[in-house]
Amino acid sequence: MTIEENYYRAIEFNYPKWIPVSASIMPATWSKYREAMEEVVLEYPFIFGDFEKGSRDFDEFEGTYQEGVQTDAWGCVWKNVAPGLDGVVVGNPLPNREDVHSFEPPKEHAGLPHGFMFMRLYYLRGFEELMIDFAEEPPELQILIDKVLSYNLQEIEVFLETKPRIIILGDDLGNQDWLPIHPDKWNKYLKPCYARMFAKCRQAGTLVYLHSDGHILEIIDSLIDCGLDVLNPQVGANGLDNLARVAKGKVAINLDLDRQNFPFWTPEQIDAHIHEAVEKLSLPEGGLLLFAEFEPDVPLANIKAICESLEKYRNYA
Amino acid sequence: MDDYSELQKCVITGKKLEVAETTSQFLDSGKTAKEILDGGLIPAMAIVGQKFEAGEFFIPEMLLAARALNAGLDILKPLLEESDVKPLAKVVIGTVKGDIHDIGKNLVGIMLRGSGFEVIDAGVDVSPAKFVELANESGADVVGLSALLTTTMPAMKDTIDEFESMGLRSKVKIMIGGAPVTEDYAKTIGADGFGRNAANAVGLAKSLVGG
Ligand code: B12
Repeated sequence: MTIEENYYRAIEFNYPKWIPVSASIMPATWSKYREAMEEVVLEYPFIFGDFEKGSRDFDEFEGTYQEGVQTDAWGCVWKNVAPGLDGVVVGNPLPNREDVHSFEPPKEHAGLPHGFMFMRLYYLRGFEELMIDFAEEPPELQILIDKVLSYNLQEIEVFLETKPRIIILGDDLGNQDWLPIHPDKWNKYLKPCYARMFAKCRQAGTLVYLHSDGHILEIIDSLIDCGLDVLNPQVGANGLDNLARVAKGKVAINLDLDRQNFPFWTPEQIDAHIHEAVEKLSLPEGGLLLFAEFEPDVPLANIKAICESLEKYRNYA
Repeated sequence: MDDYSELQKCVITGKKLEVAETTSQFLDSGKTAKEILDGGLIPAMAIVGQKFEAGEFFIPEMLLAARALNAGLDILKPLLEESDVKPLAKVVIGTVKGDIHDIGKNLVGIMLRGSGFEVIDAGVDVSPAKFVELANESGADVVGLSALLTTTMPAMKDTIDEFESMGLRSKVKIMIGGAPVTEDYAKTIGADGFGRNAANAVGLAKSLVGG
């Protein structure tokens, strides 16, 4: 069975041969470990896929990973202070509520980048202004949501033209231990958006994958209702037992292993963490995938330990 | 009129205009700015903090209350200055070098301001030298450091070391916070306190300045 076939079997609860494992290396991490990182990547093809030695420019930072200031297609101004990590929106094109009326989403195809729905709202309005909108619920809140949603629906349609098997989306919906807005408000304003977007994908036979940072336990049910196939949640912010309670068996979980601890743990603690994750979340029919992201402060020895444990537990039965 | 409960209710429910109106009425009735602040506005913000800690208030409700409180504070501020009423303490707050997460830091600043502190916002990606400069310039009593990334937690230690090496460590209390930060880490790097969230940061800052 190929890695790809096995991946879809896990997502579709169709008895994968092993637990799919993968990892992402931040550009800043590549730039720090260079050839040593390359060796690790070559050693673990189940995690990193096919990789050709010398194919990576260690110092290449693309898009918002570059240092400096840039404006995106929505008019949001990004600033990056730590090249190789992401930047942040420092200029919001709609600082005043009235601005929403004349606002038009990009006419060109600007894709569905990370932060495509909820975060886009605050990139446009500014975080505090958006929160006040959620508190006061003026008509402009719904108008803005509808505008972003209509762009997203069009963009999804374009994406679906190629009949992809899966669409990968990312939007950070949570904080460390709570949601920014009350779940009732989330269900009132945001759930209908995800429901419409996900339904479009499902109708086209495309699976839906959503990454979200932060604590999202209270809305996982809603996301499942909306038609989500794969969720990529943070362990630390949600807790393994909680994830088992609300999501296990109901939606495939591509577990974002606890990167807030990667720099500090010993290899033994890393192994115990991954062991616990598979013990609590795996099912013979599938529905569990494991994922690790390496920020540049994770010692190389820990990166290797994570890969070693992923390799070990992917055959957990 | 001595009962501040209506004013407090207006703050808590985020009624900006009513807060401004009621504040002015209290002034007209002969209350001093300090009495209104201590009796009405600050206790209201304490209740907001409790509701936030209890999971009853989320960020929208908290910010709305803070804006309503500011409507009252704007009226009182010139009067407080005139009568030389000092803030509880001065706090310089910022996100450390290499880190641009500012949402949490801003909420902490808002809660502190609403609780009677003067807050100097140092912004994000703030170097240790900049923290020292701002604290020194303003005569800050407390310095608040925020970090949301494990990669930037060491910059908290660097900042504390900078105060140390400039001979200014004993002049300020340093409190830290942010998603990956823990009480233990605060102890390890020699910070004076760790704040879990914006509500908790207020109590912490008060305890650090002996309030
Ligand atoms: C929103 C967000 C972003 C936004 C930030 C927008 C902004 N203007 O701030 C954007 C998209 C820009 C972003 C960027 C990145 N992020 Co980010 N982000 C988050 C997210 C989802 C929420 C953070 C947040 O705003 N919370 C809301 C506020 C209210 O909570 P808070 O910040 O925790 O603050 C509260 C308390 O901590 C406390 N507090 C905070 N500061 C202080 C200070 C003092 C003195 C006190 C007393 C208390 C205190 O009080 C606050 C209020 O209650 C977290 C997820 C998480 N688990 O927290 C990831 C997270 C922090 N990000 C993460 C990462 C990896 C990144 C990037 C590196 C990603 C990338 N691909 O490059 C970049 C880093 C860029 C940089 N150089 O800083 C990781 C960090 C992992 C790690 N190793 O530590 C997290 C944990 C997500 C994850 N999957 O693990 N991020």
